[in-house]
Amino acid sequence: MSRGLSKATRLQRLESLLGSSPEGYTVRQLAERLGVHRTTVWRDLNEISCEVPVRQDGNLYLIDPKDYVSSVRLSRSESLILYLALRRLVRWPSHLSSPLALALQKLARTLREPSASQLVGSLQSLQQHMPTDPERARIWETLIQAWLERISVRISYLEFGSTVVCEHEIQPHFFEPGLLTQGVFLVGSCSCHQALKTFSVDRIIEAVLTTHRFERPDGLAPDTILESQWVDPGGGELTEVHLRFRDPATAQRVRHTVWIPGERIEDLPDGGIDWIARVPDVFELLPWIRGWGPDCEVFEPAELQEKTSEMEQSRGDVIMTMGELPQTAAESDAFYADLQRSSDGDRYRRCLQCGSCSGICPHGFLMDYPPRRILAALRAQSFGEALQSDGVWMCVACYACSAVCPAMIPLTEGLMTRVKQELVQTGRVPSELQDALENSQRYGNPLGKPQRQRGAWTKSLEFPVPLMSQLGRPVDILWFVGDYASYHPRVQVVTIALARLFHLLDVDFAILGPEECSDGDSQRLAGEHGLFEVLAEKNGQAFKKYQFGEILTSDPHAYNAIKNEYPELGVSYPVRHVVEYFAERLDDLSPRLTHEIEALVAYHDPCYLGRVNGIYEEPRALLRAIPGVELVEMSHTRSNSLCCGGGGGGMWLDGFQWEKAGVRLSEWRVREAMAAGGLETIGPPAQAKPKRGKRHEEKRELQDRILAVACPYEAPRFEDAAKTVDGAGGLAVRDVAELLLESIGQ
Amino acid sequence: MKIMVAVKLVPDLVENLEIAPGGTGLDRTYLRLILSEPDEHALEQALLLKDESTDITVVAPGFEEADDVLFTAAAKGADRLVKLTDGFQEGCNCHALARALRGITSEIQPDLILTGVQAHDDLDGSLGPLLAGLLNLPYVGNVAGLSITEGKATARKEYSGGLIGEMEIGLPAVIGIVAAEAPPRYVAVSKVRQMVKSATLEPYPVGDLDPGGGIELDRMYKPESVERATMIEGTAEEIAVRLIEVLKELDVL
Repeated sequence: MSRGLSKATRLQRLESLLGSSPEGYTVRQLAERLGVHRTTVWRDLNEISCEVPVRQDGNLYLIDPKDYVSSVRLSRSESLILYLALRRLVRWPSHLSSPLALALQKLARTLREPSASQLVGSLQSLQQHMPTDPERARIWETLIQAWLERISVRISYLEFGSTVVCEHEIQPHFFEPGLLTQGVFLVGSCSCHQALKTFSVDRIIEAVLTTHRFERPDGLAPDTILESQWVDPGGGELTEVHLRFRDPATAQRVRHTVWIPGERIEDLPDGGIDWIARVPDVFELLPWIRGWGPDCEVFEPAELQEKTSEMEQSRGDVIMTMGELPQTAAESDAFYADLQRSSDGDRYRRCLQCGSCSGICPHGFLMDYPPRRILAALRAQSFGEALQSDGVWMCVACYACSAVCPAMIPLTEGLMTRVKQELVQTGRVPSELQDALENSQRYGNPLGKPQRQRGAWTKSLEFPVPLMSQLGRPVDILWFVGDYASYHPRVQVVTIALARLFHLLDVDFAILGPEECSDGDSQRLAGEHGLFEVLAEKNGQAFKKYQFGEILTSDPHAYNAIKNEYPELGVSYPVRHVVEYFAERLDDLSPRLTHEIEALVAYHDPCYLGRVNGIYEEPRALLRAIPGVELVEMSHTRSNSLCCGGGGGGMWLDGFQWEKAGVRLSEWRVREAMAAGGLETIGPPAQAKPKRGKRHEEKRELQDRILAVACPYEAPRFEDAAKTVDGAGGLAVRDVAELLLESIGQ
Repeated sequence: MKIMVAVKLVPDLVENLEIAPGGTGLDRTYLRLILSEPDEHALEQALLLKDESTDITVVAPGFEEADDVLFTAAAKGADRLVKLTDGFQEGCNCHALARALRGITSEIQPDLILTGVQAHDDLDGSLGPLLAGLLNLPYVGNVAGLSITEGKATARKEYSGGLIGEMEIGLPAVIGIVAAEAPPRYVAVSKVRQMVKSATLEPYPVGDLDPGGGIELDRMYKPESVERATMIEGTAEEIAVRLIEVLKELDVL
């Protein structure tokens, strides 16, 4: 710049120098003439060759003036017209986007602000979607050269609607954009019938220049030719198309544009119009006709009428089989807007599309629409497509996506559950899940067991478990037992262990028995919010009848529902998970924990105890208090814990999920439990055990392994998994309560 | 087209069943009734046949549980809900129900009457043929697929051995459905709750029930255990020796 020439001026001078000599210049000559160093010339040549067609001939550089069109100066109104035309171009066929992008860039410079920057914006989005198809680009280059330099070109042409390829030698006269489509047409004289013919450039699959030059006939005016007969004057017959637009508003829109030169419009008495035109190929009109939807009726010709009614028919079929799912962009928007109105809904707009949710999702690799893609679909107004997938039933509502989301979007409770709700509302529910939901509705539990037998597990105890209804006085603790803990034979063992622990600790407690209903949390996370409300209301009515200090439960889902969801429905009571209660009473428990349990114990953090409600320490403290127990951690632990696969309806989708995945999450977890121990024992330094070196390693080989759990879903799930995982036969799955009772010696 | 679905409510076998003190029937104090499963399929089949010009009426006997059944049917897509009233407290047999349905049927004049082909509390045939007999209409039972064209129904009737017979019946007719062409659909609880608020149950008094022609029960009882098996205990050898002895005692060996 200190040498007197600004860079822009230098580049302009360079461009004009290159265009001024037919022989061209060497770099040295250019450097001398511009008064700069050769490296600067190299850099400048590099830079301008992106925008102007610089040719290289040996060590000589030149610009052939035939290669480019020079710049223009525009008035304000001219620049607006050009801007509008260019905006329209942005929507053009993708294979033209490369030269289009360059043309836009250059033209943008000739415009005033804000047009220029707006066009550059369009350009950037265009460049993102720019496909690279060198084949198409080459064909375009050939056709353009033939047109400009008047050389006949031999083309291979795919006839419309067929697979027949015809060879033609043509003299290209002009290009014309499609009337009703986004295509580009080439009009030229054809060697075969010496008449004008129109070719769709998209269907030209090969183009080779010949050596024949031709002269363009005088007075060849595209408009005149197209005015009388748009397309194919030399080819086939023209067919008359007769359409009717009854709706006056639509008719108005049709009237505003000349869709096809030579079209005729006849008014109808009620404000509608008849639209008549002659075209060579009526089926080319199909997308345009379809775009008007039911506002456009086809009268002539019969084959077109047949085709459109066929399409309507098949559209009807699709709606039948799909149920009444939201299909349109407007419905997509409505869902998105509704989502944003929910709590923390403003966060959906903050999605960065980083994909962390899809990555951490244990079933993300199987979902065609993981959370990230659903949000993308909502933004693209194509949510209807996402709803066609049944992949959302792979969501186990484990909260991993919500926990990892950097924008803190409520993906589990918000997005995924809402998508499930949408499917539940239209009845599109896998049959296994349908049974569980219907059972919950009818019997108050998903297992389909009689309500009256909800307290039947108490019969095997030698002491009575009081029912609230029989006690007739306030109690300290209302024990909310839960579905699986009440009915499932494996989990009943845990429930009995808990009852014994309460009994041993002289806890003043009672249960609801037949008055208790499913907590409804998993039904809610499976998208059945209405059912959740019914169940919560029933439980709320039962709670209201009695006086108690707090609710205790061994079920993390019941805990989560009562703690976080019931208050919104006006059911508000203090609630704790049993591990919290026992951890609080560890001083009472510890002296009784006398029997050693010599084992490597890996604790599985249940999603709705750990990740959702932050309870990690209490169960570990209880396990550490048991003599002999060596607590080890699995590779997924604490907030990074891996779901057992039972959440979000997964408990009732085992067959469905297994068919999709071919593996169960519980099996992964059992493998992790078998491998656990490679990590350092996690715990406060004071309690960490001294390292035992080699002996420790040997012991680890021989020692019993226990997978400790604290959720009623888990004991049956992991025990089943241990049976199918190679080498896991020796793994014992025990609830924390069972281990405590065993250490007490009962 | 008008379709009438006549449903039955039967005891829910999930709940404990008790014999009433008289020993000839179930104790109805704690009995919970449920929509008979083939009737659920009959409703589904009606819904599958439904188009814009179809009107589905579901008729249920007047038990307490009928409200829930009818509102659920409305949430699935039934247009009209009729609850037969009076006299159902003590239950009713198929003969009484068929007679009770006669009035409403002649009022609705349906083109097609669908019922479940059977119910687990039926002892002497099912509702469909009895109703068809009373109304003098044709009846086809065990139907697992149905299509309607211009006043005629084409029914796919199941026979044993995996055979299917396709037959054409002039309408109106009564069809006994064994299974709908698709499994009964799920309807969200919120939709049923909406119906409870917005749909109307039409009570239809049927007067005294006439169970005549049905079976009279002498005794109803739970399955009684017969002589139990004897378990032989011991080592494999001991068991084998004892087994041979037993078989010899029984004169089998």
